[in-house]
Order: sequence, then structure tokens, then C-alpha cells
Amino acid sequence: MKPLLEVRDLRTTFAGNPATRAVDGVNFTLDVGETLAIVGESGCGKTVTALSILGLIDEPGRIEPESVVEFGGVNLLTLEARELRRIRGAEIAMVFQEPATSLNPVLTVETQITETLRAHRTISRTAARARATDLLELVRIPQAAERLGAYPHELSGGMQQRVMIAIALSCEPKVLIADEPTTALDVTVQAQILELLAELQGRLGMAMLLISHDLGVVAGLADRIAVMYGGQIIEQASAAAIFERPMHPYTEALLKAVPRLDRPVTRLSAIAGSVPNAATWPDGCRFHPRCPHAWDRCRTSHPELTPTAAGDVRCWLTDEPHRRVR
Amino acid sequence: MSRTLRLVWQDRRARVGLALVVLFALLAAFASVVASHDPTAQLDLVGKQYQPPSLAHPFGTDFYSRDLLSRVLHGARISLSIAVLSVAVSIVLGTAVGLAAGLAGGLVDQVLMRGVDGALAMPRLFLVLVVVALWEDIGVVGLVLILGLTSWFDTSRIVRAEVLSVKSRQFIAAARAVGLGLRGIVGRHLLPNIAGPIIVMATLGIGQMILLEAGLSYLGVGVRPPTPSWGQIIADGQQVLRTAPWVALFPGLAIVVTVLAFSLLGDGVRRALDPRSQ
Repeated sequence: MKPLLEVRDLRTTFAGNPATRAVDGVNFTLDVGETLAIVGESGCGKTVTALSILGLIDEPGRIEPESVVEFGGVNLLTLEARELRRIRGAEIAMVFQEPATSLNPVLTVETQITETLRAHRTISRTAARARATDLLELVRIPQAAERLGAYPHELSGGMQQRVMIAIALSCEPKVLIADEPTTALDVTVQAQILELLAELQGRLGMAMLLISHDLGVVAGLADRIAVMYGGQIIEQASAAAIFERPMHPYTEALLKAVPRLDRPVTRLSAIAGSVPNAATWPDGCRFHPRCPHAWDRCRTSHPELTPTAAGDVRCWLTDEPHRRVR
Repeated sequence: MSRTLRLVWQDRRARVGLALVVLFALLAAFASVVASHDPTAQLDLVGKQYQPPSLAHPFGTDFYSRDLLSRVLHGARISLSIAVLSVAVSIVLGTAVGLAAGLAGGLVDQVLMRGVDGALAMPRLFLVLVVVALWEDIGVVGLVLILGLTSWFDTSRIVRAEVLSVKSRQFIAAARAVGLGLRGIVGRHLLPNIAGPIIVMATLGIGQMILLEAGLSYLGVGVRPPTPSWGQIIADGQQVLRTAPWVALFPGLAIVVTVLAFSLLGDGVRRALDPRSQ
């Protein structure tokens, strides 16, 4: 069966000298009802990937012409602006990182939900209002009917994110892109929002592209996990495989950086250094300056994403496992 | 909209402003009914020159023995309509140009804003004087156009700056992500978020326009006599400020109170439109 959404060779660059290659050859697929998590540090290209799927890249950014985002047999990147608008919000919806700034401060919750409905459907004012109430109930906002008249600043962060989710779900999209949906929220609220997302996804049968820097967040939700580094996917496997047997040294390091409650307290390990500048990716493997295993080959030659039994990985250790430093 | 009106009404200062604006508008509209005399009628050139305020002539009379209350009331008609209409022209034009420059960016923005810079470098009164001097028998419509067309420059700059700051906010990206088109984004997300500064500019602009019109009429290039406008009456009163101060005093007071009323109203509307300010 064909996947619901297929991203092939996605490259998004931002003009400059040299140009910033924020997303540099990303490939993945998303099946109906599936959750794919994209994980990585800040600056590795997760958000730009999400925005590129919806064609929301503005000057000076540009999606390279050979990139393909295929949805329902159509390459979204070659669609006319008007046709693309019909997909956005209706077929593929997005929840942004910071609910406080993603809601328009001068419009009521009702207006913001119904405008999405009215943009995609012929629906009367009363019907839109009723639907907005249902949606607020769906995302478990108490006293939904009363909250319709509220302004964003009158709601808590968690409530705001619920409203954002309600807006995203208003037209029953087939794909929900959640870009760091819980990063701006308190830990307790985070758990509630994640639970809500998981439940709604199951109930509505949506596919979800969950973007996060936090492996703890994706652990309970994702079917598959793609780890991004340097604008590329460096490891992609089932969630279970990633957590049990991470293959790429970067994935390993990410896992070690997550505090665990079920293990004795040890020092948390941080990954030395920081993500390199996207305008000047290092030669060879992009992770080699921070990798404990790196040898000459890693410094000069760029590994491809290679399929293995457990998943795909972009690392020379698959060729030369004995190089692994113990 | 009804909510905005309700909030304006709940705001005491705005209510005073609104009441005064409505009162002045009504007085101007029904000037011919309210005024006891024809504003151009010379009542008694010999016996009624420069009469101080009295029961018969509450604002006194001028050199030509005309009833000043009637003149101020009829002058309100001219002064207010010129001010409101020219501000409307200026705000619509300034907002349109500012939106175009801010949204299009690049070359369009450069060309528009350099043009505005050039226009701003010219002294406005001088610009208006030249046009008025070249345009014989200018009339009210001409004056509205001249004043409106020469005063939108700073509005467009401010609108452009606001557009630039609002359009980079996340909720604009979110609006695009739900599939809204340019019209929906500008109408629902951009304009309501920059309405505050635009309204402030409009209300300040009305005050300025009244003063500018007064200045032009004072210089003798605005509304032609004997049609009364506030600026003209003040000009008439200037020579006799010592002997008959009431001639300039009452139209002057009318200008002050009107400008104040519009400011109070504008400030109230701005507060009512911004849900965060409550």
C-alpha cells in the first residue's frame, strides 16, 4: 500500500553566503494512522521540515525544486497556491510550539476555530458555532460553550494549546503535524496534552508527525522514530528498536541525556559541543566533531542512510563495527 | 462590533468624547435650524458692529455685524466635514500603501518608502499652499483632496512598521497553516492587530486637520469668504483681539473642544479594540 505522506529528498535552503542548508535531503513516509516522531536537538532542521511539508517557507528560504512531498498521489510542492491552501488545515493540520503566540490575541476562541471551518467548508454561522463547541469539548475544555467567547490571554497555556489542537482538528485532517506541542508547557500539563493527542489520534484515525527534542515525550506516542542531525535523518527505526538498541552514536547520546526514574541516580551525560552551523556543515559525517568513536573515514567521507535489520542508520560503524570505542 | 461599542460606552472618558463628537456633529448638521441667524447676514452695519456676547447674540457679533454663534455653528459644518473627510482619505491611502509595502517587501517596499521619504521631506504646509495657489476656486472637495493626499505619508510609514512586526508573529504562520488566503490573513489577522495605532493616528489626524484647515483659512487660501469656517473666523478676530476678543475666542474654543473630544473617543476605541487592555 502506498504511504499516506511521502517526503523524498527534501532540501530547504536559506539564501546567504554560504547558503544555510537547514534541511538537506530528508526522506520519510507516514502511513495512515501511524505516528512518526522526528527527534533531534534545536537547529537540526525539524521545524523547517514540518513547515516545508505545508509549503510555508518564506523568502529568503526556498525548497529546492527536486524535493517531493507526496500526499494522496500529488506532489504538494508543485501545487498552485490556491490548491495548496485547500490542503492546509483541511487535510494536513499543524499544531505549533508556542500556543501563546500562535493564537491571534485580538480574536476570540470561537472566531479562530470557525474561521478554519469556514475557510474549508460551506457551513452556516450557527453550525460552525456548534461545531466549535463540540471541538472544545473534544479537547476537554470545561464549560466549552462559555469559553467560545474567551480571548487567548484569558486562558492558561495548557488551555491555549488545547484550543490550538481544536483548531487543527476542526476539519478532521488526515495528518496532524505537532511541532514541539508541549515544549512551552508545564510538565504536568505536558502529560495531559500528550495523552489527549494520543487519544484523539486513535479516535479520529489520523496519522501524526510528532516533532520533539525530547525522547521522553515521544516514547509513549511514536510507532517509529526518525532522529535528525545536521539537516538529515541519521537513524530511523521502530520506537522499540531505538530505545532498546540505538545504533547511531548520536541517538545513544540523546538517550543517555534523558534522566531515568527506573535506574540508580548517575551523572546525566550531556553531548559535548553543539549543533554545527547549517551554513557550514563539517565535511564527512556531520556528527564526527562530537562523536566519541570518530576515526579518519568519518572526517572525510559522508555516510549514506543504510538499511539494516533493525532500521536505517547513517554511520560508518555499520561497516566497521570494531571501531566502536568501548 | 456591538461589543466594541459597549466597551466604548462603559469607558467614562470615551463616553464624554463620543457625546461631544455626536453633539458637534448634530449641531453642524442642523446648523441652519439651530442658528438664530443667517451666518452671512449683515444685521445692522452701523448699530451692531462688534457687539460683546449678550442674550441676543451669545457669542457677540463681528465687524460686519454678523451673529457669531450662527457663524461658529455653520463653520462647524465646513471645518468638521473637511477634517473628517480628509482624514478618511489620508488613513485609507496611508493604510493601503503601508500594507502594500509591508506585505510585498523587496523592491515594492523600497520604491514606496523612498517615495514617502521624499514626500515627508517637503514641508506640508508649503506643499498645500503651492497646490492651493495653483488651483483657483478650490472649494470644499478640492480642499479635502489636497489635505488628504498630502497627509498620508507618516500613516503609511507607521502602518508598514506595524505590518512588519505583526506579520512575523507566529499566529500569522498559524493562519497560513490552516489554509487562509491573503485576504483572510490581512482582514482577520493583520488589520485587527494594527487597528490601535491606525485609530490613534486618525483621531490625532482630525485635530491636526482642523488646525491645518484653520491655518489655511487664516492665511486666506482655504475656504473662501463669506462661507464661514473656524479658521476664517479666528482670522477675522485676530486684528481685534484686544477690543473684541470674543470673535476669535469662540471658534478657538470650538477647535480645542473638538480636538479633545476626538482624542478622548479615539483613545477609548483603541482600548476597547484591544482585549488585553481590560
